[in-house]
Amino acid sequence: MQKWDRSTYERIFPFLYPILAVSSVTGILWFLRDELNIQVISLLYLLPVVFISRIFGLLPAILTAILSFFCYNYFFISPRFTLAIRQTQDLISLIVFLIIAIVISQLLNQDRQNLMAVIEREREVTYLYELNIALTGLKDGREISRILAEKIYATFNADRVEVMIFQTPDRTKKISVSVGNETREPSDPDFIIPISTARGGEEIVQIWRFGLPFSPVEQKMLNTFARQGTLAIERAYLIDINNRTKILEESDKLKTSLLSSVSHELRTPLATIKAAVSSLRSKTVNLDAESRYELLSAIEEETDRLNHLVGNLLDMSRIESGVLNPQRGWNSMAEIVYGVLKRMNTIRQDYVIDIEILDELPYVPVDYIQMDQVFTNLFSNCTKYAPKGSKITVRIQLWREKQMLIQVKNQSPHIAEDQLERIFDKFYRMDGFENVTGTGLGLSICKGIIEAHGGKIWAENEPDGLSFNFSIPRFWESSALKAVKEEI
Amino acid sequence: MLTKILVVDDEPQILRALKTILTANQFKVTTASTGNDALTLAAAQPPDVIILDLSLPDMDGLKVCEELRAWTQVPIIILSVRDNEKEKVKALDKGADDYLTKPFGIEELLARIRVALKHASQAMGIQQSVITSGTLVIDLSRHLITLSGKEVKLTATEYKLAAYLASNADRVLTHQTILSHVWGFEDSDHTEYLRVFIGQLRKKMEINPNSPKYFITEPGVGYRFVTYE
Repeated sequence: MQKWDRSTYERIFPFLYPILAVSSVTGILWFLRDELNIQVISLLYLLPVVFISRIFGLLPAILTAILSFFCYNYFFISPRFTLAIRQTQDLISLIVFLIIAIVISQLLNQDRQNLMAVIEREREVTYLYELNIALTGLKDGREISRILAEKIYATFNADRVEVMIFQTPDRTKKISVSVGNETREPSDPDFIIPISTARGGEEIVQIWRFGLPFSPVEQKMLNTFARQGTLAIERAYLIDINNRTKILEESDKLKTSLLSSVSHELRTPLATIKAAVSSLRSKTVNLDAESRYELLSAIEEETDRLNHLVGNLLDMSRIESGVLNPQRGWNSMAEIVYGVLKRMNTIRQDYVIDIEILDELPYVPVDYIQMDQVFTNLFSNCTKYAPKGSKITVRIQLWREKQMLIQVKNQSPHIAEDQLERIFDKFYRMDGFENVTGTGLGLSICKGIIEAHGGKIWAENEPDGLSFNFSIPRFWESSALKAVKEEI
Repeated sequence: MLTKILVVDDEPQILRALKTILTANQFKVTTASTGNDALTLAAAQPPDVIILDLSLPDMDGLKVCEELRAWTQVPIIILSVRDNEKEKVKALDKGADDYLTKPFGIEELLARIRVALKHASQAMGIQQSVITSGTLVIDLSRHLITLSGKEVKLTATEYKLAAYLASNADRVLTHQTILSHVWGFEDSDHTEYLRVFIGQLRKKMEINPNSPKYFITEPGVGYRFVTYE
């Protein structure tokens, strides 16, 4: 029964009540007819007119008035059970009744309509307010479209809402979100709102609501809703532009500070090398074998330092430009640690190194060279802050589900709790350590590399020093270790 | 007769330093700063070793390597910068013998040259049948490996892998080279196989498998069996 849906029902419904009301009043009055005189009866007949007018509006009220008029005449004015009228007095009273009934219903209706308009406006304002609250602070076009679609869906009792947004005039960047199910066969939307955005894009909202057309008020409100959506998208775009500008400014600042810090860091080892080499070459300075050896080791160490610095700079620029793609392979974390320690002579000479690693430690999918860089930076950090002769502990263990936890602990001074996170920021140097050499890049590179591997890095104050911890996922998609069978 | 070395690099300072150092180490050194010069010189005065930088002004170092391999088996040692593993692997697969990452110590370079020369002479003569490194002895003719005098028991594949690495002692071998020699795989999809087997070899032959002495990983490139006195 497709025809008998909501709208037909809602149209007929208000007209059933006048009939009901008038017949019940007539019934009651008929029962009391001997107690009441004719004037009171006519007054009581006004009651249903008032109520119907109040609840259902003008037309049902007029219907009530006319029905009351006939019932009054038929049942109560003599001769009863006819529509004929004998006395002039009765005729006047009947006509007056009809006029009063109609005037009352009109007055009441006007009042009712005013009230409804106020309620409607209040509802509209509430919905818009809710929509605005929901859209506030959203920066993502897809999210905005989703909220808009959901709000329209809920507010208008729609069956299905689809929001499409073309962000550019050539319609290449498209966002499409729909809410509600498409159980019926595909059909044309019941209402479409196309809105052009300020930047030449377009927003299209399509709404399906079966059987109940949208009233002009609803259509107006839908337009307002859709417009709020475009405004939110425009706002998100402006925020985005603003952020980009900020990032550019930041990166400009970064470059300046990088340049000054790097030129200092580059010149220091160069100065050592130059001084050592020129004295080795000098014919006037007489160096004994020991001093010559000393100078030569200084040169070698400083070149290693320069090389390490260049490596860090390269990594930094890769992290900055987002091209630090780890070349994952199954590697033994232990082997990497031992490899770094083997290479860093100074750390082995100056510190007590304690390594706690499980014998059967599984391989992890990491980039060997990048992990090497992480350990090199962490160890070189230890040598800067921990007193010589103190202990450096490296502990590697399995952690939580599918993670490996690596700890590098040293006996350097504690760091204020609020700075524990900041030490991983670029160029961050701790107060009170101005004489320690460095660019402030090492830890931020560690962070960049670990995060590119899907892990996390953090520092913690320990009772007797400081520990750097990082986690590395033990598995990586598409790196499932192939089962290896022993071949005979 | 002095061993002849051809150094190819576009940096005049590197050429200058290497020429001085290598001459002082009793080599006869010729230098070239472009790929074309290198090819001409290699043909005119065949050297015993070529040290080749991969970034050259006129042509790709890989191409130079390929053209040389078309007619000569002279050992080629590649010079490259860090983080260029793919280039290194390509060069090695195109026939280069070894590589060094800049900056390098001169001891390392001399060691690489010695190994390259040794393998070049072995390629012409008889293979060494007993390879010794520290307390590890690999006897290829008797299929026997001993560590501090005790026999190391290996499976067939493990032995094949150990023997192949040892017979190329001190040379870097790419994953692909090892996979095709030991397993016969013609693609490099089976790197994980190799890793597992290297792990097993380390467990059986290294004193500390976490810090290997003999079977060394060349990150992103392959493995190297290292010999000690």
